[in-house]
Amino acid sequence: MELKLHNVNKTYDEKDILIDINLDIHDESGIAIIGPSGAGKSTLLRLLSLIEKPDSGEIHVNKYDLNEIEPEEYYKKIGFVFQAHTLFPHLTVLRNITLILEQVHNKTKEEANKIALDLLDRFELSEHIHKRASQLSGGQSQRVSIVRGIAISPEVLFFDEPTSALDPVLTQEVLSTIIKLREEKMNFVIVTHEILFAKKAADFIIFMDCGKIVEMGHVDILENPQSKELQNFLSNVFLW
Amino acid sequence: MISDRQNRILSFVAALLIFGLFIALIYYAFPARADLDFSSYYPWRNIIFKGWLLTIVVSIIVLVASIILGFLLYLLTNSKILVLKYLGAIFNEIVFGSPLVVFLVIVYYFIGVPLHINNRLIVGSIALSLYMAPYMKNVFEGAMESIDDMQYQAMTVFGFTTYQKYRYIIIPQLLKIIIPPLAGNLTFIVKGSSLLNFIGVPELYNQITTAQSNTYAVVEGYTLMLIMYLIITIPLIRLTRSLEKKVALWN
Repeated sequence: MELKLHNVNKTYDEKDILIDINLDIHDESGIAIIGPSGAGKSTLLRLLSLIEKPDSGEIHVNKYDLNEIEPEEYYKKIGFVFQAHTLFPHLTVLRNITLILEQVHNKTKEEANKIALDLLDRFELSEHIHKRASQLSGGQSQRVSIVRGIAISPEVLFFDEPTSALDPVLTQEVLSTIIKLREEKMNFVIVTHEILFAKKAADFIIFMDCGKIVEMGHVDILENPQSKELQNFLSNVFLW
Repeated sequence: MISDRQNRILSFVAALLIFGLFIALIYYAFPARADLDFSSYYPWRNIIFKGWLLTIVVSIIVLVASIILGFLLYLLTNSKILVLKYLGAIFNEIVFGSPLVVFLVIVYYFIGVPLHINNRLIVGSIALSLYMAPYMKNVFEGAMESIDDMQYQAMTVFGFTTYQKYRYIIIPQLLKIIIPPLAGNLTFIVKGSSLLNFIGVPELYNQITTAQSNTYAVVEGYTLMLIMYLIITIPLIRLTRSLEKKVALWN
């Protein structure tokens, strides 16, 4: 995937959340955005997925200029997994997936069912297809959300701290699902607190602090952090 | 050994008997009572039955009308145009502050009489529907709030159009959420409809009191009335509860 950002700024309530973000990344398939709370990680992800627009600056994801493209068109090309699962509570697991395929991606009922059933099978969720979110554990619901994200064959899948609402056991369950995506060369950008996971799942790390990108590079920057901020961040994380 | 189901049935019957005995004890233990004799109501059975049916019909009409009025009121009170918002708020406060019977009579004199609506059934239905509208508005408000922001964001980022959002996600959820409280409000309407008696609608209360003034059997009349209301309301209350339980499963 390609990510190009040029002088991107974002302000909420007169507070600078993102300050002059510049990025130029080519041919990386797994990108992890890490950093302390309030660093602007989630905001950056929301700009990349066009849930929000920057106050200024340019963003290109693959061949799409996010200032130019209609959001509805762009949404068809990407997947997004939120912090907590967003399964629609009145629909079954299967229908949660097929509804989007049929209504937004113009698949027939048969095609949609086939895609959904294949994926649910691959991610070991077949036994739950007729359940509703209220009958699933948090980890299972989040895994279904991930399957729903990849069902539309997105060019990029965005994850916004997908395990922050889960306990450690369920977190493992969800993280292994994401690692599986990496094995399948799925392009994804993930905001995460799980440093060990980022190390394992991502090729490229972006470390943010106070609305800026402080350090970025291949995964080995986690072994050899150059900046003081990343060194501090990592030492605090591994302290526990 | 008895099964769980048998145990529940037996316990229920026992509770019913104890309840009945307790009432009978109080009633018959004191000398100042009249012996119950329902036979004087037998000649009135058709009139009373018609009143009972009218209570059901009025309640259904009011249910439908108040859902529509309640939704309009919801739109008013949530309007960005302040005048409309305040208009809705004033109406809400007046209704929530008024006893139903006073409100019904006021609507009769302030709307029915000047507009020459001579059909008391129509005036009564309008009045009761107006009174129920703010309660229905609350139902809509609660339902809208129960769909969380994350779902709206998810719908957007999946690329649903506005029509698709409403058609497949919002309205189906709203319907399921509002049905239990609507059934609850229907019970309220059935009970409230008894006050239509005050503007002369020949519903159950009205018909039984008419019969009472001929039979002089006051206690029997009210007992009959209570039983006939409970025949409508208890199934409604049970229905409301089972619907509530079903909906709780989805969330």
